[in-house]
Amino acid sequence: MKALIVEDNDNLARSIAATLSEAGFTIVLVHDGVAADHALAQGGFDLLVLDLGLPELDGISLLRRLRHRNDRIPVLITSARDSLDQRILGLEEGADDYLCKPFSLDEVSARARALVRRAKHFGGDSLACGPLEFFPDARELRLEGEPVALHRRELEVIEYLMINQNRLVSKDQIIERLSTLDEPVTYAAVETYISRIRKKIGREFGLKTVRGLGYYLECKNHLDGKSYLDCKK
Amino acid sequence: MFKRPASIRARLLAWIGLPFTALALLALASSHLLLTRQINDTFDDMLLNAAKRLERRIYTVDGELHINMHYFSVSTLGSRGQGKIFYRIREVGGPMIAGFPGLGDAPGHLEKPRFFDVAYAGNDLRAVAFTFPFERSRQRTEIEVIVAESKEARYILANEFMLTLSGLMAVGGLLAITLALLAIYFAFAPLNAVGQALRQRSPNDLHPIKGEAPREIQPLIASINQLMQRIRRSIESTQQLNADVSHQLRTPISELRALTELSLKASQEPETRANLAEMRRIAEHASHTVQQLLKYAKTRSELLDDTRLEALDLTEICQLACTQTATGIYQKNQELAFDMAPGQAYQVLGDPIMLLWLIVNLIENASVHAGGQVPYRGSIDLALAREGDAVVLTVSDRGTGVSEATLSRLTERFYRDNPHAPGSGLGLAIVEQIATAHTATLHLANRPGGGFRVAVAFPALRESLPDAPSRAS
Repeated sequence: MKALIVEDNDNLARSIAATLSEAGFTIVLVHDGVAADHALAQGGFDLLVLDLGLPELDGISLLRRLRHRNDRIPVLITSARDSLDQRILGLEEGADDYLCKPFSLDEVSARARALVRRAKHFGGDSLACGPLEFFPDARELRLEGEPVALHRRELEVIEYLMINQNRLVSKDQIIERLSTLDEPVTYAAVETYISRIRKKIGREFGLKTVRGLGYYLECKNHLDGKSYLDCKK
Repeated sequence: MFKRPASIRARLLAWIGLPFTALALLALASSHLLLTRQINDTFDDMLLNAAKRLERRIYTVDGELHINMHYFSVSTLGSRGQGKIFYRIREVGGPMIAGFPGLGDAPGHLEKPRFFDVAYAGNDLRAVAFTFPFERSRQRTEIEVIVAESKEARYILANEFMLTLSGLMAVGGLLAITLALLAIYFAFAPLNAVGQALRQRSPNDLHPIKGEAPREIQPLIASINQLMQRIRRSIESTQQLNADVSHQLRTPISELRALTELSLKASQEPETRANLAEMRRIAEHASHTVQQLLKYAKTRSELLDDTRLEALDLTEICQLACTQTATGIYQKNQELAFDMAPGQAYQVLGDPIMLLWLIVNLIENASVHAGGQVPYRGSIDLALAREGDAVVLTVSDRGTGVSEATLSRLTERFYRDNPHAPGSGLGLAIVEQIATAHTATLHLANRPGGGFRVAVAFPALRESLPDAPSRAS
């Protein structure tokens, strides 16, 4: 996995680079928007970590150019500008996630991996969560290496939960994901799928029902993302 | 010396009342003068008529002058039969014919009837004197007649008139004062309305006074508005400074935090690691405080513009707040839950970003402080409910709660019930500020079953209002 980090503050750039490198990314580091634009034009990146306050070409303009040429690369914005309007602007312009400074490096790493995971699930990489591993190509879920017999809908649900591991997933999101025009899905159906998945896996695997909100799949195979809560998308 | 503040009403009353009272008194005095003159003239005429009748009753017998007193009685003489009548008839230069000899003479000549005041036997009398020629024994002679009556009838009539007139004036005066008071009341009504509007404002409302006002009080309103504008600007500049300082601290704190984390990963030496971990904790705390300060600066209710508030459903904002905080909550082995009546809309007028901050702050507050001295492991419950005209948001935990003594201090800036727990001491102050900006009431209490509960009651938006598009989603 290859990440482009655009950050003009040297200390932050070094720290983010070291953290993402530890998380398995190959790093390209640039300090201004113009250099970033050149690097992105070459292609081949799996993730862009973008500071908004950049010299030469600011982050939002860079993002706009990127999306204008239909580059779907996942973008994680980091910014010292906190105004929520700024944040919303970033997300509207096509950023996938937003971290405001000061952030913890663990948080950067967790967000970066989540973004790549979400982008990659169209590709062939497997998803892991504790004892579970999901193989998208084979449409197969394995519990400690052993295949679990799940139906198509149940596989779709567990895949979605694993993509969004350690995040709150609402029933509405699952419904939106599963429903097609001719096959609408109800809340009751989602609950049925979840209960069948639980029964078929047959042991605790970190899936929690969040009353009134949805589900939370907790995966402990992560770095401890201890951080303050108040600066998340 | 204690001086009572000047009252415009009293001044108006004095300025209207005193001249009018003086005018009324003047009118009464002149009426009295005219009236007594008129009454006197009338009574004098009647007195003269009565006296003239005497003239016809004088006759001679053998050169002796007599008066026919059979037909002449005291009562028929009087003008109205009231009071006392005295008379004296005599020949000029001769003896008295009849009457009271002590009745005084008229002053001066009597070519024509003469009226005069005279006192007799302790009575104040009005008298008329005249002479007429008479033939006695073919001798021409002059007979003088004086008739006097007491003045009571005149006084009584004049007094009755004056009493009636004074009574009418008093009633008129009272009516005028009442009208003046009413006029003053109505004239002051707009001023009172402004005063009341100011009193009813929330203490943080520094928006200009709006609405129609009479020309006369517009300068006052303009001055008040200017003053509020100045206060607002001064608060704004303080808060802007706060925001700028917080903002400028962000990047250096970010660097410190990142480098500390990086060093912590690289270092194996236990003592260095312990120090670095402590540094990381401090940097985290500093970054949290900086962010909370920024939020505190931005949610000062004095600076909020209600026109920016929009109709929105609290359900969506609660869901968003839960989504944002869930990861941190579950990493701490805590749980979230959200209770509301399905299908029910919880519409309020609000700023979606601030309401999000409010809810996130409440969740974080519960997450950090619910356990007291030990980390909390349990559920944080959000709930929305309609209670009458209010939409009530509650965030409660099942932790240790807080002592009753500290309940009231929790919303103070930088007050921290548990100084060992992480936090800036601004969380609930921000919550209170945002609640105030939304005219919501904040209620902090211990749950009956243990734990702490914050309830925020928002004024509900009437269901009939068309839903405005929400930015929160």
